Amino acid sequence: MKWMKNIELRNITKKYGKGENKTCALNKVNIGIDEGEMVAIMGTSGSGKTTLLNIIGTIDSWTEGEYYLKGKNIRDYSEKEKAVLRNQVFGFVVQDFALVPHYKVEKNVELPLYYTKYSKKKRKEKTDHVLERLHLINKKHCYPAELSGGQKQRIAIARALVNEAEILLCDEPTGALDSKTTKEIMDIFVMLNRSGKTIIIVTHDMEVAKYCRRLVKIEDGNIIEDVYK
Amino acid sequence: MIRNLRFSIEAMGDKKIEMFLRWVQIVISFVCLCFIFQTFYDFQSINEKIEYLAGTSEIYVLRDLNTDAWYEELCNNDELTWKFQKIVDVINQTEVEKIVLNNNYETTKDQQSIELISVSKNFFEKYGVNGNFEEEVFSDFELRTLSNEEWSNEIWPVVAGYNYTHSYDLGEVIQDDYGQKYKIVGFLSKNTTYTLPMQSKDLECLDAAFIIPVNIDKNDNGNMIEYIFSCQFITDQKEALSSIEKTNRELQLLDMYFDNYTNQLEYVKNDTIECMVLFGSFGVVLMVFSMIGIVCMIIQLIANYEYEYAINMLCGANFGDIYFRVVFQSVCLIGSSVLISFAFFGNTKAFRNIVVISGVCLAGLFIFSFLKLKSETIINKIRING
Repeated sequence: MKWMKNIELRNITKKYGKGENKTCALNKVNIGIDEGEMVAIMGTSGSGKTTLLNIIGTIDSWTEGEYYLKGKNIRDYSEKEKAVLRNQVFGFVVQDFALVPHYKVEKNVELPLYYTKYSKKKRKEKTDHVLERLHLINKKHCYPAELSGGQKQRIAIARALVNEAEILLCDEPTGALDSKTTKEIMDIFVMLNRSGKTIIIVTHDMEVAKYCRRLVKIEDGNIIEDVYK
Repeated sequence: MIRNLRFSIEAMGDKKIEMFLRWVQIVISFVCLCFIFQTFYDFQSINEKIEYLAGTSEIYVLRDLNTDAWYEELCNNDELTWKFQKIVDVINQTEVEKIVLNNNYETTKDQQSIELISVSKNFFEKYGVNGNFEEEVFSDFELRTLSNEEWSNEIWPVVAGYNYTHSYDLGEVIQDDYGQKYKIVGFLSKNTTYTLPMQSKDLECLDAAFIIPVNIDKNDNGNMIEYIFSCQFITDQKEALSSIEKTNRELQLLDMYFDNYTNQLEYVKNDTIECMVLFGSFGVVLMVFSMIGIVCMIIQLIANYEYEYAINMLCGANFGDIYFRVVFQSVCLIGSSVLISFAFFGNTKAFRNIVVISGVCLAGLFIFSFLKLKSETIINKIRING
């Protein structure tokens, strides 16, 4: 079989627990995502959408099935190689921002670059560049606690972009934000998608899903709908 | 590796105050533990030394019951000199082996105080005192009976404490601040100690002492009194000392009686046990709190920063990067604390115990952090700790 999609999940199943308490979070899920797509994965709480996203980002394991990234089976990757993927290919944006509270903004954004071979000067350049792009350069010496929700999320997006990740994985990125800030954040995602980034957003909010050209609905671990607008 | 090292040092710098407080806590714990261990070993050493001394046969010493006023009168009364001479002669003629040990003198050289210990030649063997000196040295420690003036004109043979090994050479003649000359005939081993029953709680260290021969000026009452009370008689037959008691009674000179090491040993042991119980209770409490403190601090070191580690893994760190950071920080904290303990206590048995304890702490930490970091997936770590 030819793998044509950038991300291919085939019959992915994820089960939690043991014996009679086993729960099936994903049940033989098949999905393929191309480069440059902007996909919304929608579902109710407990439907398996976040689990799906985490498996795509290699930060969670699965029980059965195959996952191919750019034609290579993820099972063939060592833990070190998966870490390299998280550093160079994926960028993560989560609902609670996942910022280190005792790092300043500059260091939070620079974090992925610590695991590269860039010099200190180059790291600083890239950090400043991405902060300027997101209009946060004047906040780089602040701590996360000093920022608003929208600013924190933009910091998280900046961190996801600083190492030029191709694929952004966003888990309820606007869940903790008001509607005005939500629009700001979604506009950023749209802009990034137009520049060629693949964006996968997990959300339960239809207003957020409307920004995406493809909508995948998931329920009880099964994909029930997969439509392009 | 270099990248991890750099990042680990930076990470410690980010939390420098917290790291410093944790380091102080560990240093205090280790130093206190070292002190307690050292105290126990000192008590043990005291018991061993006394038992060594009393091992082969009984040792008798003269117990001094005289007042200071009576002493002054005795020392200044030249008419009593012949009486002291008689007692000294009886002591020297007694067919009982004796050790002489007088540690009441000191001098200064270059304004540094030096303890002078005058001994008989069998002191080294009987007290198990070892060092870098030949057997011929012992002949230098034959009993002298020169006048104080004559004695001052002599060059005194000296077995010097370990601290002087780098200051003087064997055979060198030196002079103290009072003009007295000394010839270095040997050096003691490091940490050479001795104990006297009368000062049973103390382990006297000889590292900074000069050991010189005993001299009795038979025209100096004070000198002869010091000699009398510096003698330790080795015999199982107390009757062999009756001539000394009888002579003293007849002359009505000194208020004294013979006491033996066995009695002293009981006194020492009871005294030592009391001290050990007191120290031990305090020490056990301190040790328990210290160990709990160190263990809790180590666990907190990982648990508090699990969220940070998870975010780092989200950004591309692998398990090895994070584990290295935890291990590096722990080794820095505990390793430097061990070095501080070494600076205070040197390479002693107590310090080696601390090395073992720190090794156990580190091993436990390595295992705990490995299991803790491996236990959850990245996303669960972020969820649980976020």
